Amino acid sequence: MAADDVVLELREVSVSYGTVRALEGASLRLRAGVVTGLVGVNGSGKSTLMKSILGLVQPTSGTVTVRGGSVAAARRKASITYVPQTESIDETFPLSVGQVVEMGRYGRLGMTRRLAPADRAACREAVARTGTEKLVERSIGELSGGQRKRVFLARAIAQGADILLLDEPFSGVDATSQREISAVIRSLAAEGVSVLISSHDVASLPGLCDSVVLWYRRALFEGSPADALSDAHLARAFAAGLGEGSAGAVTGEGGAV
Amino acid sequence: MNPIDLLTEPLGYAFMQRALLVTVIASIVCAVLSSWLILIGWSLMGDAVSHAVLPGVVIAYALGVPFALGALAFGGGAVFLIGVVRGRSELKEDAAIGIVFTSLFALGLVLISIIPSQVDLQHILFGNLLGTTSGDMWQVVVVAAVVLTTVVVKRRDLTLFAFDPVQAHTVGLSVRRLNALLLGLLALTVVVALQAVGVILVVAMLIIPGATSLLLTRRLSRMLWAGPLLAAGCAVLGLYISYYANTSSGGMVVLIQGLVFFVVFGATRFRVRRQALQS
Repeated sequence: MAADDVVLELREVSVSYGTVRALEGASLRLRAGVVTGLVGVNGSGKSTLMKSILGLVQPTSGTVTVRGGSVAAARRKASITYVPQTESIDETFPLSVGQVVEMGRYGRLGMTRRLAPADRAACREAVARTGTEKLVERSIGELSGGQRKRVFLARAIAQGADILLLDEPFSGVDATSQREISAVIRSLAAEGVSVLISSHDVASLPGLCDSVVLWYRRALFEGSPADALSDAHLARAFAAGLGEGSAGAVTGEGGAV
Repeated sequence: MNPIDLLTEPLGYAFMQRALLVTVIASIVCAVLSSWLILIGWSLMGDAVSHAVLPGVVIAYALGVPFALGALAFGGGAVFLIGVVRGRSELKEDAAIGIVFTSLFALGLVLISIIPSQVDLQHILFGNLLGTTSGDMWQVVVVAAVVLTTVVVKRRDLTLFAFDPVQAHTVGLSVRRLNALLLGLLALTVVVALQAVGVILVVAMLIIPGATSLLLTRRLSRMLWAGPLLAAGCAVLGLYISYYANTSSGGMVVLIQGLVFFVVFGATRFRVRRQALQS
């Protein structure tokens, strides 16, 4: 794969919260059209990694670049999109599915965020691709876990970004939704979108990811899903968590692996 | 007296015309903001800002400048101080808010007692609807127009900020600026409502209409109509009742809003119970 395929690059990024070091000299490259899986225990800094890419936390050292430019510039072009963990969303908020999907377009709209016909078309297409057409008029509180994930994926697609971050997209999701979400992600990658998926359900990653990164404050290993998820490599990633992190953080997710 | 006279008689007085205009405008502006405040969980922030503007209002009166300026300065100052106290200490946000707004409120009380002026504490605390001068009225009209215009232009951004600030940030909006915008609108709204119901009851007008409309609809876009309509109705009704019953006008307006909330609350609970029984 050519080096100019690199869409997003982290170089030696460190992030600390007070005395806690969440990332330590972390480096990572995301390439166009490649789906990268991110596997690590709770407290391994997966969320902090995503926050650094989104520009929500500032690294204490190191750089994050998007196509050679800054994260802020990429955000202004709405070229990064994020599907949040469902738990971080207020499901009682009085909005319809259609209104949530429209929010994906806001970065491209004028001052009052009025949608043009092209924006409505983008939303309709995003809804169709995620199979959520029948849910458009529903309140977001009336959805199942899998439906809600698909709605936020639709919002991300409507945004039309070329970097897609998904935080635990399969937690609380039924098998059918999981298959459909995986198929949509693969089709986005085929269009050249660069995808990063954090998951502790490692069984969901082979077949979906081109590459898997084992993470503990930095990339410990990167390779094909079969390689990365071999017992030896996984054991190493979790031992890193055991050695440095609290035992509680590891047992929290150890069961899922 | 026939019913038409009942409605028109109070309007024969210029002070009642001004009072009606000011209460209705204040109710509408508060109710519009109310929807976002209760969805974000900023009810206490409304309480804080409304109390914290007291010293600003007193100083503005003493200097003879529009009290909106003083209120905005101290509203903004209070929000800044809350941020500093919360950010640089182990205190949780509710403690930080409690400390800052009560201290500023106390400063206002002290200022009233030492600054020789025409400021009547009663009027600031409980509003002075019937004593609204035409100068006060124009100030309310202008500030309300500024708030409502801003809200109409920025409503979708405010909703995204309230619902999912991470997405707002991700698509390139400035969350910090939206935060400041909403707090600025809050401070201006408090100024509008001060004249009508006073510092103490402002918070009611900032919480009740949004809460009532949230019981009635599951769409923010409809809440933004329902809340202001309800609040305006309560304002008219409350003011007329206070005229004939000779009671506190601000108090009656808020009391009616509160009664409407409990009626709607009761009706929706009843509906939920009936649906549960049927299914």
